[in-house]
Amino acid sequence: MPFVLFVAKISRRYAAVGVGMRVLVIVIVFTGTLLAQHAFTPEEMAEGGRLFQSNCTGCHGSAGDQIQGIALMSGKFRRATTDEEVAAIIRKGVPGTAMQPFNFTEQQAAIIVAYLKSFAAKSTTNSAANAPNLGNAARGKEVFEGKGNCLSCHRVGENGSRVGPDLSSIGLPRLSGARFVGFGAPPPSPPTAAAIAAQLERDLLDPDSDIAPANRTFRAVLKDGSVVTGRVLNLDQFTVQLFDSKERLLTLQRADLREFGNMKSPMPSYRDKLTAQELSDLVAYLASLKSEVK
Amino acid sequence: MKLRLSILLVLLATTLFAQQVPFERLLNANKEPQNWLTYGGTLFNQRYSLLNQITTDNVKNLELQWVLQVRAMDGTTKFEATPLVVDGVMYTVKPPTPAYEVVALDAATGRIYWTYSYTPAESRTCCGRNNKGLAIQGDRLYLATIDTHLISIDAKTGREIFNVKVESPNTGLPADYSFTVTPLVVKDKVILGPAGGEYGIRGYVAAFDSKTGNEKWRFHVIPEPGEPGHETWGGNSWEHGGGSIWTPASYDPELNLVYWGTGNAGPDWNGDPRPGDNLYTCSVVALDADTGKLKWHYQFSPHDEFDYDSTQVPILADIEWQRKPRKVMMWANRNGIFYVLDRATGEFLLGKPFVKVNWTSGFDAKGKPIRAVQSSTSGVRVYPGNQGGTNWYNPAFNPRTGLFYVPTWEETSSVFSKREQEYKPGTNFAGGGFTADVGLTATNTYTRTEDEGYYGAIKAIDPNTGDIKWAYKMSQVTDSGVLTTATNLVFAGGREGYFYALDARDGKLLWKAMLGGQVANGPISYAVNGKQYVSVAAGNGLFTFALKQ
Repeated sequence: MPFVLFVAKISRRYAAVGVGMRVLVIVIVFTGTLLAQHAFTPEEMAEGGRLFQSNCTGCHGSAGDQIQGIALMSGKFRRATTDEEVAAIIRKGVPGTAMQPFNFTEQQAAIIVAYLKSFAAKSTTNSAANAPNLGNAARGKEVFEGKGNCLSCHRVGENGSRVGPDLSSIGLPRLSGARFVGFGAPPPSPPTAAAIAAQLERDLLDPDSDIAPANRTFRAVLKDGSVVTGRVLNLDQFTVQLFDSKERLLTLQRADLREFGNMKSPMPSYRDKLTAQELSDLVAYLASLKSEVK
Repeated sequence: MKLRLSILLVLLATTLFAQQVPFERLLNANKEPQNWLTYGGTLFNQRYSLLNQITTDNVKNLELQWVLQVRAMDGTTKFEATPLVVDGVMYTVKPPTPAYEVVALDAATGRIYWTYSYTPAESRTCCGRNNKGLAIQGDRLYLATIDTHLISIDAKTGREIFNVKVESPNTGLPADYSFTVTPLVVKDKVILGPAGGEYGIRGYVAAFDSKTGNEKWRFHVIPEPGEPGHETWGGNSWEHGGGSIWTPASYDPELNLVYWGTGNAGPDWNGDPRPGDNLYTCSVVALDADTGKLKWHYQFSPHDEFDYDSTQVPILADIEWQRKPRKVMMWANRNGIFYVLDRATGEFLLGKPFVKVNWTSGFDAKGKPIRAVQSSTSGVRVYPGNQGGTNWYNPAFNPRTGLFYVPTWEETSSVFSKREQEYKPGTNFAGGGFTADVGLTATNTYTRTEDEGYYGAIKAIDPNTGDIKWAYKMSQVTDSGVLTTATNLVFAGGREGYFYALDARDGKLLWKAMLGGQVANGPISYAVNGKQYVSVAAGNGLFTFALKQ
């Protein structure tokens, strides 16, 4: 039978765009209501991750979000509230759906659940805001809105432009790099607070380094010479759907295009634009942005 | 007097109510191109329509006539059924989400005459609660279900005639065996087999009495101890070695052979517990239609570790092959290679990659592939990827152009990894896993460009050489089947939701319609009152087109 698979792999080929434009796909929702967690050793958690990557990603994807409406790493489950209920679903399946019973012991199912829930749990303890040596978030907000001119492209809450990726929850942990992990590779673990801060800093200094496909900026030159840039929302062999630099939802006919391709991120590097303190403050502010994403 | 009256009434009834579709009509389906009597149009499964109203010149004037909406699919389920059309009545079936709905409708207007509904018991399917469609013979439709029931339905009334359960789960868990295939009717038998290659089944092809549903013969895809081929399995691995059946078969009446493609060996990605070629998985088996006895076989992927099911629709044709008349079978395999076999003997005539392939370096003198890549625990990248160069979606053959048309997945690869796994009833038995870059079904939005690989194409292959004559590229991969016509048309679709008409000679796009859902079945063509129609399923609907009046 055609067993299947998934995943929008993030390749180095992709041109970058900027802060937080990478793995936005991984929506990690902090629920604030963490249920009683069993204590598992780091080795057990890693084994849970390995089992998850080996058995579950075929349908759910490495980030647990490939099935619409289901985000396994959010800590919220549609059909279960307790860890035991989630484990029971893993072992018994969900009748009438593609979720089938899996050949796991109770312990194995439990460590898979623990692995999944570690992402949500760590969004508090591992929050970048808790990382050492962070700057001052309030001052960082001033940089963001003032000297950094970030709102000219990005949006936080109801403020700013929609042209670049929305940064309202950029402080939540994100998985970085290749999204699909094969069996030989170690499973991804939630990034530490320091790692999140480092990721944000890298985004600011080197916006092209890592970018999710949906956040790439494309440049289209029409036959009349006019140029349109924007994020590609969708495409097929006849048309391209863009969110352009003027915040328009736009369809271009590919037959009308003289050139079409992705380009370097329009985001400037802040390497020489901010002082070390300003950069640190800005990272602290970004790390504090953790709105729930729908 | 009473007796005489009875006889008279019986005679009258026989004349008035003659069987709708006796087997002779299936044998001669090409003589009535206004109808679509089997999965592939005829028992040769060429999916070639002789209707000539819609041409390369006027195809641009196609317009929508009607749409059959079905209740929404769920998860990975797709609308894969090929409809049947008999004298102005169309029959099709919606997959069980949660109930099968078999409908008879007016093929000209889409208005429904009757609906038959069946809700299957809890069942396990790896990749969606799919169904490839119905079969018909006499006045009866046949439906094979995911809870392994074979159901016969009165084609005139929608009344259930029989409903037999083939497999009895012995685990207390949902059955590992499931039917997703279109049954094949040959003479007085309905022939089919089970899916479940990821669950440690032992596949088979079985024939059932078309009147009663009683089993008449069974061919085990995996030979038991003492049978030829059993030596290609180590230890007890044969007991759970896979070899599923989930795509329709073809039939040659002169040879009286049915041809079935068989699925992957199990566990899928770890061949260590099953040393040997693992016959007759990933093969085509030619069986005597009356007895189920194996006449010949050809194994496309010996000792498979990459899930290369040979579950493609065998296309039969009597053609001049390399200047000699020959009864051939053409087969574009999931393993990325296009094959031509002699269907009387199974002789390997030609094998040539139609997409990027690295698992084999070529063939030995007998036509057995030489394996170039082995599975490993650390992972190995293999072309084509897990979903293959093509898969279950039907190809087509056009005797007029002499070309074979196949939907392909281009530049795909997977990293396959194996691990040890014990068989346990009611659970997965895959022995590892794989990576891939796109999912089983279409997503609403798609931003991968063609130069990043993983795109679909319809390719035209010359069966004399295996050369690709043309390719029509899409942005996304495709799960669409192909229809071709005597007027040099090729119809197919893709995941974007487009349905296309191409020129069968050069692949040029002639017409397209956006249907808003992925095309995951094979189009058909038929005629009612002299008007030609083309039908295709996309998303949750069946769309039917004809020329503007």
